[in-house]
Amino acid sequence: MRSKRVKKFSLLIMTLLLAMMLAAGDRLAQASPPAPASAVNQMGTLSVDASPAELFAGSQQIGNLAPGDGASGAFTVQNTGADQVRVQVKHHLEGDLFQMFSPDGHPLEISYSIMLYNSLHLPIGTAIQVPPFSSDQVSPSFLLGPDHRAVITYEYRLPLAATNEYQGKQGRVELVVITSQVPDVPKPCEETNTCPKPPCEVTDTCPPLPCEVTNTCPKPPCEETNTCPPPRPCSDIPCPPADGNPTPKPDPGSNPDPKPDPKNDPPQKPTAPGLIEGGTSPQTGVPVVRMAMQGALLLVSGGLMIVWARKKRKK
Amino acid sequence: MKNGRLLMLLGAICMLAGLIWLAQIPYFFYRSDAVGQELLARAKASAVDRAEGTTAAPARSDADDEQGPPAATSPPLGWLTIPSLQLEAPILSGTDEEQIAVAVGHFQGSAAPGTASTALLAAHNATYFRHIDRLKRGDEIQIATSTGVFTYQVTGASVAHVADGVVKMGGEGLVLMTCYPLDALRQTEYRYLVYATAKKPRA
Repeated sequence: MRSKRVKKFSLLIMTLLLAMMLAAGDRLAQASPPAPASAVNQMGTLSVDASPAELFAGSQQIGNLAPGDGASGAFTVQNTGADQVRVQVKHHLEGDLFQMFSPDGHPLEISYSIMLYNSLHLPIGTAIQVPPFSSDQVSPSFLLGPDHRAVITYEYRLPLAATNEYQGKQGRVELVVITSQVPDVPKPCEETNTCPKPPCEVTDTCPPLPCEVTNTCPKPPCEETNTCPPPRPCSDIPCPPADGNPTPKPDPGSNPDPKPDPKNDPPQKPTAPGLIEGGTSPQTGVPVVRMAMQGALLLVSGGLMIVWARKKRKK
Repeated sequence: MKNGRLLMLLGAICMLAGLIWLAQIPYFFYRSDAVGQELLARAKASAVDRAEGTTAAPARSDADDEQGPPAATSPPLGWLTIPSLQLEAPILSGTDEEQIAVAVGHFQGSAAPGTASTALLAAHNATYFRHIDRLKRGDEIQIATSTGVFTYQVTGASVAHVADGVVKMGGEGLVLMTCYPLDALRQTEYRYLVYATAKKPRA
């Protein structure tokens, strides 16, 4: 009986180990940078810390490319400071190859793959792939913890669709690493217990507003404010009845006051480049994996309960 | 014995809850497609109404009369067409889950399409914008709203961290945004952005 249990237990452990190995293998496979098209130009390691800076990482001479040709290079950024640092990679393009069709018309495709590693040299997440598109490309920023490093692999390629006009032209790609400090985010007031009290509108405990504020006070009679209109002779307007409303009714046939001309909207000026505030806040991912995990967890736990209950019944 | 039955019942409830929970995934995609189609039909119908000068009540499609998934309440702003991706999608105002679960959302902090600034449209990477990485420079994007049909031309794409923000374009422009990686079935820290500028009519 006991040996059976031990067997079952060891089988479970082995299955778990196998699953973990498979998961780790998948993770490593995902983390591996794509195989370069040709020899990789290794540019060495650049040390950064939390101080904001624009650091030259290296350059690559590009020349005599035929359609379909390409090459790749790599360099490492290591955070040698004690604080987290936000890093971005940018490239500057120089030379005839890029100036032929200014400002953004050259067909050279430059793409990046950024892989982060922790202090134990283990990959963090999957590689950030920056697709080829713009000539003046800035990579997405990424956080580099203390002792963490990022291996940045870039690849450039002249697409097959490029014409022969580009042959024989030379260019230079300069790679720059931009670092910026990660601001210390203050603790939320819920943690420090310093939240301001919610306004009375939220708690619905506001005292009623005086009528002067809400503009709902009854008007004083004109005799008090001394603003009564002077009496007009009955020959000009129809006389009101003795006990009726003294204000004459407007003639329905007469034209109402012409409305003022609608104001034309001022011409819209093109806005200066800047950021769209909160533009990246929409959550555009579907949490399918999370939902599947939660559902699977419920199913498994339900199944285990049933198995346990059946075992109990058998006993 | 009693405990065993209770455990069995609890297990069955858990399994049922798990099945219902898992059923949310196909339901999400079914609802996204069904309600999206209905909104698209509604947007097109109201455009036809406007063109014919009728001011009838908001157009209703046949799908309204059928028993189907609950529809989004707000009327569509218009619709988005990307010929190179063979994509047609309704546009709703707002980018909360309520809107982008069934349509492309117009980020309210950005300019309206067709104005002199940058409009930002967001959608899920698992639904309408799953192939926006296939867009190439020069591809056309059309937005039809109550104020007109606006054509844009793709100029570039980039991946940005959520902390980097979305850069406004110099003049009349459009940014399409979704989660990156595009095959990630989870919330991520990166966004895939496609930039397009207004296409000037030929002289």
